[in-house]
Amino acid sequence: MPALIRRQAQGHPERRRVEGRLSAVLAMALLLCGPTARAQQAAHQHDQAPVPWQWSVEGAAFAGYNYQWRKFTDFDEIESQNWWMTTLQKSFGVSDLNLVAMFSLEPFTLRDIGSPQVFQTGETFNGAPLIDYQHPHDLIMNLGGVYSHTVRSSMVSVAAYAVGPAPLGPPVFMHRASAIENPQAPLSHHHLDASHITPGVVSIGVEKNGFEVEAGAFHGREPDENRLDLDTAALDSYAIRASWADGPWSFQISGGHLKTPETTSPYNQDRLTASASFFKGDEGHAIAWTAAFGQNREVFGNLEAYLFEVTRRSGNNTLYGRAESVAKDILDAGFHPIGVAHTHRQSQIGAITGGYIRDFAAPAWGTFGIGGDITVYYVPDNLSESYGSPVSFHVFVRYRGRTGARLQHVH
Amino acid sequence: MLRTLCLFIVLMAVAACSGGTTATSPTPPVSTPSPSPVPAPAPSGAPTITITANGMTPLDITVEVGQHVTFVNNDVRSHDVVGGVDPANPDCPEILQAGFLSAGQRRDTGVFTTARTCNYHDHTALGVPAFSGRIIIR
Repeated sequence: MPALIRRQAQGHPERRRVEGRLSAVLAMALLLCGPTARAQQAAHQHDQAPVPWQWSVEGAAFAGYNYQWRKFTDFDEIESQNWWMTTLQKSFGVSDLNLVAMFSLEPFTLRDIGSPQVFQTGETFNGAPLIDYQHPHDLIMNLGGVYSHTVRSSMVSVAAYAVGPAPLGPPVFMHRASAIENPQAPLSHHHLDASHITPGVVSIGVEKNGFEVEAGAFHGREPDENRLDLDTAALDSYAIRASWADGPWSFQISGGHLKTPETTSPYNQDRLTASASFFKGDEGHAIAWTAAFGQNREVFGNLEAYLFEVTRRSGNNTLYGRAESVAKDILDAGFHPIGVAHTHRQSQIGAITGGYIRDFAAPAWGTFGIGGDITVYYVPDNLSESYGSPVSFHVFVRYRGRTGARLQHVH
Repeated sequence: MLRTLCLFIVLMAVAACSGGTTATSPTPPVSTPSPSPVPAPAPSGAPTITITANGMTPLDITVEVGQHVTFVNNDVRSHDVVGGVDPANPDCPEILQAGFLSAGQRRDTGVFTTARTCNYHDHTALGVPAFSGRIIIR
């Protein structure tokens, strides 16, 4: 891997924090984005003068056809999953300030109920728990900032977000190098990384020699059905995460207490997660994989999820895959007033996805690819009558791009 | 139409944000969304309650002892038919045989063997009047 790309991929420690603490994420994005960021970086290598502010914008958009082959009725949809993240960074010598805003147009490019995805759960629509749909993400996914200060070889960071990621779980799927080419959310999303859009987050972290501990308070309730507003509420939940990165490897373990995360239940939830990630590659070839475990501990029972996903890039060709085994309580999803806390029937669902993307255009401002995937499922006995043997298909065009500049160009 | 327009501008917006000035971006396919649950026709004469996004129809139904009721889910999402009005005390176990219904699914309750009135509700829409009703057995 060229040193230039490595530097940009790893970036400043603070940048790694903002972008999910995994340098591999940005590295993979850069490899997929085409020459824009690399060219800009190269063009400015000669400029070593301190620069007050830098900005960057990066994003991804999938637009395509989603077909869900079901037992009783099929679903098909033309839709788009998409996000943009803008960052504004200023350096103060041993301190840095990063301001982050992340947006999605999914409130407009997905149906209000969400993207059809068999066995997907989480959040609500018209007051009812979502089942077999992936909810649209909020228009404002992240809005906040991180201030960090380096003391000797350690870095202390303080983060505050109106909406942002709680220190709980692995990096969210849309930023994971092993998942960024897959338009589908994992079925384990709400066991692992659902707290990436949390209304109100305050956290502090200490990092030294690649080892970091973060702790934070946030609002535990999942986003409401109004995808265009900013949810504001008390910081009633907490989480702690320990992570370690060394070379191509990244690990994290985390746990959190979420106060009434679901609108359909008056009960709290504890979440435990652990993950290991690997990324290695250069401009022509790269591989990234993640293995993760998540457990939601509820009064209704403990629901566990296991995930393995991989992305392999070779030139203009990218293969991706995901395998999951996820416990869901679909059969008893619904409203549970205080005092109603029966044990839920669990369904251990399996899903295997295989996909391929071929990049066909790489203008200066990003990379376009065309791709598709297929997902087959293991359906447990208690769901077989209602679901049979479903199969999911996606065909899509994917755009990914990143650019950035310094607000004051000094030669 | 709004979604159609938005689908088209998604890639355009990303490109614009990235400072692009040239090249031709692919146009995403656009069409009207079409979740397409196919209602299953109920056999004529069978007491049937149909579920849509607006609620159950009819809410109250009268059947004879020895009959069952068929619930048909014509909504685009799943529903969960449960007996009684209190989820802590489900009543009329025959109704639980209808239970969870994915989109497009139909299922019968058990046979009602005694004359009485059974309340039912949709567990996913607890407290919503349009999803709560009665089965009157006589």
